[in-house]
Formats: sequence, C-alpha cells, structure tokens
Amino acid sequence: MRSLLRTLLSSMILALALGGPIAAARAADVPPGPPPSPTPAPAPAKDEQGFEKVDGSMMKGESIPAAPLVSIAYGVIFAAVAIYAFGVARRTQRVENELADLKSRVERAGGGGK
Amino acid sequence: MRLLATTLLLVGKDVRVELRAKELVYATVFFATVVILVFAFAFWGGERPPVDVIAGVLWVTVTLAGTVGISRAFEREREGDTLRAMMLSPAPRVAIYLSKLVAITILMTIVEIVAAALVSLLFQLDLTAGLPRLAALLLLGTLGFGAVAALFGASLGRARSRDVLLPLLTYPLVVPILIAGTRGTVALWRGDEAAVSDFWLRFLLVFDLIFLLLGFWMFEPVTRGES
Amino acid sequence: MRNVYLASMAVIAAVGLVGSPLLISGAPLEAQMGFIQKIFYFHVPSAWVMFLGAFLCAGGSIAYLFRGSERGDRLAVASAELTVLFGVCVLITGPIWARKAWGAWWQWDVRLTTSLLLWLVFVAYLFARRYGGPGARKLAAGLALFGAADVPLIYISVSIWRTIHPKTTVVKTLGAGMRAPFWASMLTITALFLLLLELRLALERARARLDEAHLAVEDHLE
Repeated sequence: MRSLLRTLLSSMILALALGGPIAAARAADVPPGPPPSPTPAPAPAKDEQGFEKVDGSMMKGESIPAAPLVSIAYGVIFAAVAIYAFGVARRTQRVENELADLKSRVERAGGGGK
Repeated sequence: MRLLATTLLLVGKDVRVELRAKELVYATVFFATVVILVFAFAFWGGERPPVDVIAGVLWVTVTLAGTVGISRAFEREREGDTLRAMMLSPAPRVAIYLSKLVAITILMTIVEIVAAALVSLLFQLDLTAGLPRLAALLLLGTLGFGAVAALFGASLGRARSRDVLLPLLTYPLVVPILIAGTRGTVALWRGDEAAVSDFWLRFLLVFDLIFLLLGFWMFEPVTRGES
Repeated sequence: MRNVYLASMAVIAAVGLVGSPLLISGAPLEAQMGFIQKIFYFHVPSAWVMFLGAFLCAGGSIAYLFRGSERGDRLAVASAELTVLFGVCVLITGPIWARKAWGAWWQWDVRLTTSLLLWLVFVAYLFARRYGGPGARKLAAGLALFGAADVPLIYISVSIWRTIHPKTTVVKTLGAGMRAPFWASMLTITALFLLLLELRLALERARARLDEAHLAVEDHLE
C-alpha cells in the first residue's frame, strides 16, 4: 500500500512539475488583455444628427486583466488538490506507523507471555 | 394507531411540563422580541425599510427562536434523562420524533403570533390583508424546520458542541424554507397576485412532505444504539 | 484488479494534469468573454465531481444507516471530504470567472448558489462527524440524506427567486475547438477524483485495521 501511495504521489508531483511551467509558458504567449488605449484623441466630430463616434477610450476603467486571474484559478485547484493529497498521505503514514508499532509490541509481548 | 396514541401522550406530557415551568415559552418569546428590536435598530434609518427587509426580519427571528426553543427543549429532556427513558421504553421511537415535532410547532406558533404582532407594530405594517396566507406560510415553514431540527436535536445527544452544531447542521438544509417563506411573505405584503404566494405555499408543502417522510424513515436508524 | 484500476486512474490523472492545460491554452477564445472563459474547463468538471461526491456520500450513508455497512460509512466520509474539496475549487474559480464575465464577484447565479449551499451541507457533515459525540456517524449520515434530498428543492427555490434578477449566461453550446479540451479536462478531473477517493478510502481502511488491532492487543495482553 505504501509503495502504491508513493507511486501515485510521485506521478502527480511529476505531472505538476512538468505541467506548470509549460502551461505558464503557453499562457504568456496570449496577450494579457485589451491593449492599452492610445492617448485620448481630440473630441470626435459630430455627425449630422449630433451623435459622436465612440472611440473606446471609455474602456480604460476596467482594471483587472484576465490572464493572472486564470492562472490564479487554476493554481487554486492544483494547490487544493495537492494539499489534500499530501494531507491524506501524511495521515495514512501515521496510521501505518502506529499499526507497525502495535504489531512489534504484540510480537515482543507474545514472545514472553501466553 | 398506537403511534398516534403514544404521540399524543408524549405531546400532552410536554405541554403539561411546560405549563408548570413556563420557562421555555417565556424565554423563547422574550428572545424573539429582543431580536426584532435589534433588527429595528439596525434597519430603521430614516424611513421604513422595504418590505423585503421586514419579511426577512420576521423569518430570521422565527428561525433563530426556533433553534433556541428546540435546543432548550431537548436540553431539558437530557437534564431529566427522560430522553433516554423514552428511547428505552417500548414506545415506538417515531412517536418521540412526532411528539417533539408537534411540541415545537405549538411553541413556535405562540412565538410567531407575538413576532408578527411586533413586526406589524414596530415596522408600521398592516398585516390584516394576507393574514390567513401568512399564517399558513409560517405554519408550513415551522413544520419543515421542525422536521429537520427534531431529528438532529434528538441525536446530538451528549455531543459537547451541540449548541453550535444544531444551527450549523440545520440552517443550510432549511434554506429553501427561508427562500419560500420570505418570498411568499413579500408577495403577500406587496399585494402581488395570490398565485405567487400560493406557489410558495405549495412549495413549502412539498418540502414538508419530503422531509417529514425522510425524518420518519431515518429517526430510528439514526438514534439506534443511543440511549 | 484494483491495482490496475488505480494505476490507470493515476496515469490518466497525471497525463491529464499536464495535457489539459496545454489543450486549454490552445483552445479558441470564446467570443464574448475572451480569455477568462478558459476557467470553465476546470470549473465545470469540478462542479460535476462535487455533485458526484455528494451523491456517493448519500449512497454510502444509506448503506450505513439501513444496513450497518462499514464500507458504506467509509465511502460516505471519503466522498464528503472530496465534495468539500472540489466545492472549494468551484466556489473560488466561479467568482473569479464571474468578476470578469459579469462584473461582480458574486451574482446570485442559480448554479453557484446551489453549489454554495451544497458545500455548506457537506462542511456541516464533516463537523457533525468530528464533533457530534457518540452516534456522530449516524447523525452525519442522516444529514447527508437530508442534504441529497434538498438539492433539487434548493435549486428550484433559488431559481424561482432569481428570475427577477438579471439573467446570467453560462456557455451552453461548445464551439468546435473547445470540445477536446473540455472533455480532456472532464476526464482528468474525474480520474483525479476517483484517485483521491481511493487514497482516502485507504486511510479509512487503515484506521479500521488499527482499531481492530488495538482491540486484539487488549484481548491478547489481558
């Protein structure tokens, strides 16, 4: 059981170690968000009905770029899963140690008594 | 029929004990009063809060008071060790569940009457228009709440954090009651067409049927092995 | 047989954890939401395994309550923990996505709200097991059953409540280039879930062996 656990864990860690940088490299290729808007153009000319053409400068208000958010989201999932898996492995290790300890105590006692 | 007879007997016992002590009713009603006052202090800024808020005040008060009441009711049983006696007796266990459900409903009805009157007074809301429907909403909501809380109250036994655990376990499950109750009440108080509050009444009825059935089914296995 | 099952889950999960992000980053951008929509590839499968976990917990609880099955109880606690774990994933990635897609971290979307409530029920399950005193396991099993029955009721009530608020859209139909990364992610997360479930069940089985060993030792040393 212990060796199986170790195999499972190491394959996961390997996958994470390989996957993380590759995904990050790929993500870096994608532009981080809308390109910064150019310096505000002079007031656009009004057409006959009095409408002004929209030039996108009002989009400057949006502050949080998407790419870091996506990385955080995936990072949270990977981290949560990894922390949980380690937690389970640690608890299992403790139980197995206690079992081994108990077994050796019985063997020692069983040699003397009964 | 033995189930019904035993249930009525147990309910009678609870009512008689309470009539003598009066502790539970007074404490729960007083608690509800204080809670409504706190809400009034919080929400009444310059003018009357919107009807949605007032409906929320009523239902949160009822939920909190219900939790306090059920906790206290089972605590009293534990102090006298009467819960164990009932579990050990040949009385069908489901009768214990039912009797607690009926007892809590009676207690909560008293609290709800007081709470509704207070809300009407303090928040300047005329309740006479939709009163029968409001009563039905509150009754069905209480039954659903009781169905869940009675099971947990009985089986929390001697757990150390049982006071915190009871609301912790109950509240997420009774969220549909709170949604249905508040939205139905808002529909009543805003004068929306009857179909809206009728829908929520039917919803509560379905909820109650499902959870009562589940409670019946599960009470014995969940409390088995516990005396 | 079990080792083959475990090994294949491990391989799928390991390959998937590397491969899915690659597929996802290669997928086309969604027309309306752009880059942020890529969260969906792991968000939706996480929600799916969260509900799967809840369902398994309810099933295990029934077996434990009505047939005294210890295996059922082990399945219940293991799947409850995983429900909470993947619930955390859903409830963090959901608002991150929502912030960019709908402008606010929380919009009372039906699905997110139902997930939140289901998550709370299973957090309560874990509390009940831990602090419920004697008979805690049965209490928790009762809670799991109530919770499972509650899911449709929660969904309906939240959905009706929310119809007067702005409708929120989730990508319903997948564009052509998105199917492969989506199903790859689905497979990965499901394999991951099953793997973690097995790890957790192994812990419960080890604990049961330990309890038996303690009892045997007490008898032996008497």
